[in-house]
Amino acid sequence: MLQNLIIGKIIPVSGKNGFFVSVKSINLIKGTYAVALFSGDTKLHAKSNMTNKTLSIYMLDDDAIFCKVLSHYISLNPDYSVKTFTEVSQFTAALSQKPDIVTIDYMLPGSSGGILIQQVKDLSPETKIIVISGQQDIQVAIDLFKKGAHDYIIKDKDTQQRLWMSIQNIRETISLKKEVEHLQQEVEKKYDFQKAVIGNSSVLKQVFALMEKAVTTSITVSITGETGTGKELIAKSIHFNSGRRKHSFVPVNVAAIPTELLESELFGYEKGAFTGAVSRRIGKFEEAHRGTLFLDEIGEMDLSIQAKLLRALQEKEICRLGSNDIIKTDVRIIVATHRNLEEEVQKGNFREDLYYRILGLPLQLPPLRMRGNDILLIAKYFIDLFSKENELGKKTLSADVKNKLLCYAFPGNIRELKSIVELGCVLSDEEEIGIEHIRLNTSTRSNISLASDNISLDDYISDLIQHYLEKHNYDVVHVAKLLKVGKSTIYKMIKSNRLQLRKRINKYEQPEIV
Amino acid sequence: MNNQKLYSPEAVLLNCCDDESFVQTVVTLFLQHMPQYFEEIQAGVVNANWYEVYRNAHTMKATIDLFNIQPLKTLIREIERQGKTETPEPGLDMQIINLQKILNACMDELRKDYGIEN
Repeated sequence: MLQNLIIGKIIPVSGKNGFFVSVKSINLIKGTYAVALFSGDTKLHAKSNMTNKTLSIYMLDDDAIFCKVLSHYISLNPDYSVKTFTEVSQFTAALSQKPDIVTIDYMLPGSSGGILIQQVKDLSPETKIIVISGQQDIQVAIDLFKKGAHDYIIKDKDTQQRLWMSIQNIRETISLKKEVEHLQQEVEKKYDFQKAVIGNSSVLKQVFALMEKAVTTSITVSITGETGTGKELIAKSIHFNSGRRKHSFVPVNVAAIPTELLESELFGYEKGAFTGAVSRRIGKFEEAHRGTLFLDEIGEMDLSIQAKLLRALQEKEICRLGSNDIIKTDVRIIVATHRNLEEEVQKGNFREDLYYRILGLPLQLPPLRMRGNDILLIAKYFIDLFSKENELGKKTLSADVKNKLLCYAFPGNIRELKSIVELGCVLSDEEEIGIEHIRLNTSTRSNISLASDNISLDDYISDLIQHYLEKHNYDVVHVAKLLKVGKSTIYKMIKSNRLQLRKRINKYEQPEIV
Repeated sequence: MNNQKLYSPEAVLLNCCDDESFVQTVVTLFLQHMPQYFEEIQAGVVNANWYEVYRNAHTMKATIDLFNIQPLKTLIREIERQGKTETPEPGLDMQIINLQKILNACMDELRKDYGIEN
């Protein structure tokens, strides 16, 4: 049994439960109160410091005495602003003020709890409704809950305490809801275009312009770009700046999930659908309902799943594995790949119909080497972040390092830049990060730099072909076609060790080692 | 001594959070509203308007519990039940008379205890 309260002078008095707590003087501090619990003991449980916002509570009861006593009790918390009504018409007129909570008597002349709940829902949908009633019929309570009542309290000697606790629970819920909204706003700020994606190069501005178009509709967006160019970050930015931001952003890395598991991951499954399916599980499509599903590395998706994905996208409905029930979904799709899907279609690795379905608004992310001074802006951002996190003090890049970074090709793009500058921060004992603290990846020869001082034409040609080979999965024939050179020329260069041909990462072909 | 009273001053004080000035307000409201509820029950019985009998008995019940008026607790529930089921029993008239008698006595006690003039 719960009994009140409060801060002030607490005096024990005898009672049938052994020990009661009563309150002689009341001295509530705004935003802070205590609840004394007793059931034969004197435990005091403090509950305090919720939001300072005043909670508006309207109470409707034609029993003026009961209404007065309840409102007096609830008003003991100075964070509650209580208004009482004995007439239904006055109460409904006041609903335009959108109170946080209303308490309504179930039985009222000319109205009833059920009718009033609907009126409150229509006029002030966010308002929480507590029904206070002398009716002990469980069916009445169930019906009222179905209609949208938040709580149902029986009129008896414990009504005051129950109402107090009910309001307190609602207040906590409202606080949590506001906290979630606040955090959502923070996330939205975090993924604001200009803040999430650092840089002001012209190529990036073109990306921003397309992103602006993408957020205003639910058009499918296909993001392409080399590894480490920030495809997921762009996808998140689009989601958190779109009308779907209140709902989930669900990322799925297709390449990281085995083919045999991908279907159940995307569409979910019913209990017993396969060995190990011990309970129902919803898939990513359902999880992303009314939000955004981000399919990263979609170029790696197996053809058998592609057919099922196409159906889900076309029909906007899915079936969980092991079920025939159709589930409607409203999902915005963003896909990303480092592959050239058009070429994959030509090779027969990607369905043409799916390709056109997901093409939507294509966003080509520029590689870091094409973003000029953005490299230094991003480097500074990572240096500041890393230094702050590790309490390294202020760190800056020397002029030599800046020049070196500007000349580097960054095959790993932003991800690689981050690693380079973080290592530089660690290796440098001084404020300035010097050239000796920077470790560029020289093992790869895809570092094509026109700005290097000592490069011969032969070296440049080798670097260029090497870069294309790495970019196009060491497909000699394809690279020869792209660069308009004979494939035998490339093979000769490989033989003379001017080029390196490493494994082909293609699931349909055997690795080729030279 | 308190046991001789029809209502429980302790219950009233507890329900009013030990706020004696508020007790005065609640007692005043009791004296204002309870005769009115009773009159509507009485009229309901005369006119066979059982919904009004039920509704007003239901309302009085909460206040009777609030003041812990023991002699009326069962009586008001009996009247409420007959109103709700629209099945007046032969003893209803006597129950109404008893309700009036005890209610009036209780109001006299309250006026006296809290210094409120008629």
